[in-house]
Amino acid sequence: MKSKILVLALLPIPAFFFSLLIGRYEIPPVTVFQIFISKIFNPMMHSPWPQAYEIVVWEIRLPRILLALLVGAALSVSGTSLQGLFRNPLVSPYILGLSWGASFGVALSLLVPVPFSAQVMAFLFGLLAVFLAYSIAKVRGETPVVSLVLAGVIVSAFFTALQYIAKFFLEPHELQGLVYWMMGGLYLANWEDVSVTFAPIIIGIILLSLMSWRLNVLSMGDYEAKMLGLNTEVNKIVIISLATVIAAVSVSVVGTIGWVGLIVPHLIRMTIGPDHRKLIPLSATAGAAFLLIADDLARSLTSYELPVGILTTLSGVPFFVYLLKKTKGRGWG
Amino acid sequence: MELGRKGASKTTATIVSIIIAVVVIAIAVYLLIPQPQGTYRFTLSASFDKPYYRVGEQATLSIEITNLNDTDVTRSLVVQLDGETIYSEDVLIPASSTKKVTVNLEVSRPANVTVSIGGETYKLEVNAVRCVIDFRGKEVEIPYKIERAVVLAEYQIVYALGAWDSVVGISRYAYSNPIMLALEDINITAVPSPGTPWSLNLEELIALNPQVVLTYGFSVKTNKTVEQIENLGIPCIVISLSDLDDLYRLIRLYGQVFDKTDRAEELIALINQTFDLIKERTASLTDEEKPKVLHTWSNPLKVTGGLGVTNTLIELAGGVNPAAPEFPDEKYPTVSIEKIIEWNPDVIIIWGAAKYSVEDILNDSQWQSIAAVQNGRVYKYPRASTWAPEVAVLALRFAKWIHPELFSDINIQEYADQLFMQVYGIPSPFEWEP
Amino acid sequence: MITAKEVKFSYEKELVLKGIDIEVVKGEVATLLGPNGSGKTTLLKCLCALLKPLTGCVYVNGKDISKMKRGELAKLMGHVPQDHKPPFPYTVIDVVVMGRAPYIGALSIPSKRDYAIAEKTLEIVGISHLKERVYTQISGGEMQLVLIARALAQQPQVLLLDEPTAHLDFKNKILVLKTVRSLAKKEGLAVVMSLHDPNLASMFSDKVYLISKGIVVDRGEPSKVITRDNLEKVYGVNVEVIEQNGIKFVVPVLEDST
Repeated sequence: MKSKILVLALLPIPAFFFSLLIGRYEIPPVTVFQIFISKIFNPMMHSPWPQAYEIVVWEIRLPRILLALLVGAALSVSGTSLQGLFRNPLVSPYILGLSWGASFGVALSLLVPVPFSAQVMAFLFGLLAVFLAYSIAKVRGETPVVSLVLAGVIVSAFFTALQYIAKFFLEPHELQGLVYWMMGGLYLANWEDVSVTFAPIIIGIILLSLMSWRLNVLSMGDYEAKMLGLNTEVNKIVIISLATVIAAVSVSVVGTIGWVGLIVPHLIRMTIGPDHRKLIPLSATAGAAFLLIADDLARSLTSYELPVGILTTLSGVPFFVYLLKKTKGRGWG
Repeated sequence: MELGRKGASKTTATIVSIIIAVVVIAIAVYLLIPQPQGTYRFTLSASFDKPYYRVGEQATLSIEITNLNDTDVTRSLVVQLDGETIYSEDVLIPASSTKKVTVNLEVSRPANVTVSIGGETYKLEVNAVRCVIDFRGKEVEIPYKIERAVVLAEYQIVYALGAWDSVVGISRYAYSNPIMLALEDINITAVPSPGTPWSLNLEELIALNPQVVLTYGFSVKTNKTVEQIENLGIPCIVISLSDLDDLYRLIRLYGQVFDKTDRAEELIALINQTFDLIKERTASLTDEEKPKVLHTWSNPLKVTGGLGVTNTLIELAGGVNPAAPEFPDEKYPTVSIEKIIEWNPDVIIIWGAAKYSVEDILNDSQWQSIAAVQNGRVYKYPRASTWAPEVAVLALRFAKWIHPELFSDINIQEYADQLFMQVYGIPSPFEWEP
Repeated sequence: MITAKEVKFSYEKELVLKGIDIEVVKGEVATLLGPNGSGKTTLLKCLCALLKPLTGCVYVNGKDISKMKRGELAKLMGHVPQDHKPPFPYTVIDVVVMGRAPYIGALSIPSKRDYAIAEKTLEIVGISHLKERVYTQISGGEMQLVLIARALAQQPQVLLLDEPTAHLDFKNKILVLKTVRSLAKKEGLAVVMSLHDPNLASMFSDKVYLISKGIVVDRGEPSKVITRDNLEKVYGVNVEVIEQNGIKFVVPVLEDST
């Protein structure tokens, strides 16, 4: 068991170095590391390699790799936390309507002159969707899991409808942009994206890891958690908020990448058990490595860019079917 | 024996003395004979105030001449641009000092510069870039000569301009473009593609080492793509197309970029030729004589509003768009069937890439009361682009449908073949059904 | 000790609890006995602050529980639910240590001491051997004992059990109730549990509250409360009461079909 934990915890590191070497632009592996080391330790050094090499390694590959690690970790931790809270392994970070809210935010930004960028709109409307779902689910001051899930369905349907209306008015070029946005992709990753997402994601993951034992208790259900002395609503609000923020930050920068937040937590839970104290940090590292490798494939298989969401979905759908059969559709709550 | 020894040492002494004498005389000669006139020693260096200039900018060349001699010297300073002398002045340089001279010149192209004075020569280059204004209104600096361009938008126009040799990468969509596939002298599928303006593999782009990228850039994914490309130090020409004026502007802009401005004007003249022909023949039409023409898009209820190329073509062709007064600022409003019945258009023209056919409209029970359906005046044009010179043929096609009596002498297929030959060098790959 | 005074409760318009008084002291096992719909589950929920009474109060050690924070109450009162649906395959020790939640901060994890306490409760309840087992793979009775151990880990003074024998087989019913009783005596807990089987109530309680339609019909020692008349009144079933080993047992009388 300890070896499994070690492997999962350290997975991102070899994945990181391996990914530096991958790409359509041919650079000798030794040079890649030379560039990497010199940029960190001696940025002013006169470089004996072509400037294009440096640009590819430092401006294209490195930010993209870091972003993949951050987003992969964020989506996995978000999925894990929500699966624990909702007591069901078939829950994803988007269950409360986040993805549909975010994409509607983008569509709206295209139609109406707003002072915010599409990215900010995606973030705001993603949060709004989850907030709405939570409010709708509140019954007599409580939010039973079944209510939350149904509310999520309602909110998703609501924003989907709004989005159709928006699409109606969009021009073909803008429409195309929206479609690509929703498919999700890291191909335009730059240092700005990394700097915007770094702090919220890292802080969010750390906080959720610290609350991981609490999550164990909360997974016992609202009644029992209350009996064990927890103020369940407050705890739920905090966990849902943290899980939503890290997922919303990710979605606003790379679009909706699916299935990472669903498969990885479940795989890790099957490997090392349901104790969230191990589950949350390890799903962060495993999710980071998973998305990184999927993205490596997306950017190197063909000369174009395969949207990484397609790769994660293709690997996810058969897995999800297997999950469904294995849990035999067991309980929502 | 004794006689020989004496003899040998005497010979050696003689030879040595002769050698010494020669050396002394040589030194004396060197020191005493005066230097020939005009052999002074200088050092020379020159530099420009900027690493590169825009065409038309003033460049300042700073020249430093150091006089290593201990007398004042006057010599002629000559500056040549690609072998042509642009400056020649006598310059006095005081002894053992440095003189600075600045020469201004207007930059019109990259060139080799030679500075010479007193036998000393210094060579350098003046780098020139051109500056074009793209659809963002941004001044984009591009290399003087474009030899490596990645064209992600409107690539057929690049071909029409005769600049295809400069293209090193295209959009993936080009692989399914009927015109690009029909061109005989190029194999479009062999041209590398880093993706599309919405989904671009940056490494692949860099591997193509482009000097400039031409792309769309006004919508939510494409603007970020442009930002990223420019971040990597590659200039981007961003275009967008809303109406016919944009097409002219585009052709001229591409002509500027690829230095094919004459050919650009030729293409524009070809388009205008057709438009003029149509205008001439429809000039004397009164408003009553202009039929109501409705243009439909991806679904039959999505029609052309008061904006856009198809609306312009309808009006040009002597028709009236019933949707225009009600939707003056919209390009693709969607309306109800009742509205269409209310308008009762005389002619219906279907977008070339629509999935439904003329028969689908003619046989649709809801459309039966409409004049166009009753008179069988429902048409569909081929999948030709409105954002290219062949828009002229489209205009003519519309005109002939709307006013067959005014254009009965013209066979659209022949006209199209002729225009395509002039624009692309091939007959039209589309069927225009004369 | 736990006291309820004049507790009334309704879900909608109709009163489900019409004024209940309860008093259970340290070391005492009290059973709420009554048929389905009598209000005993509702009463239990009011006793542990899952529901707020319309009027009336519940006191633990003299303190009004409606004025206590959840964390504070959880250190005084443990609750063993009737229907526990395991969400994930935790190990037994991980489940039991969750009982330490009232003592552990939001961003903390259980300490060595918390684990020691949890292991002690496993010992007390007699299931130490199940410590590392996955709790979804043990028997129903063992699971119930795990939940009891978890409640014990809260180091409470009051223990509430909601139909603790509901889904158990015969052997496990006895095992669980025996354990509960010994806990009350040895650890000095005030125990309140709801049962619907009068015999079990008779065997394992010190005090019985007979509840029907929201009021306490009778209260007192089992031998006093479990009578033919009371049971007929409350359950509508004809019974005969017999005595065996000093304990009263209830035997239903089947009407002759002929």
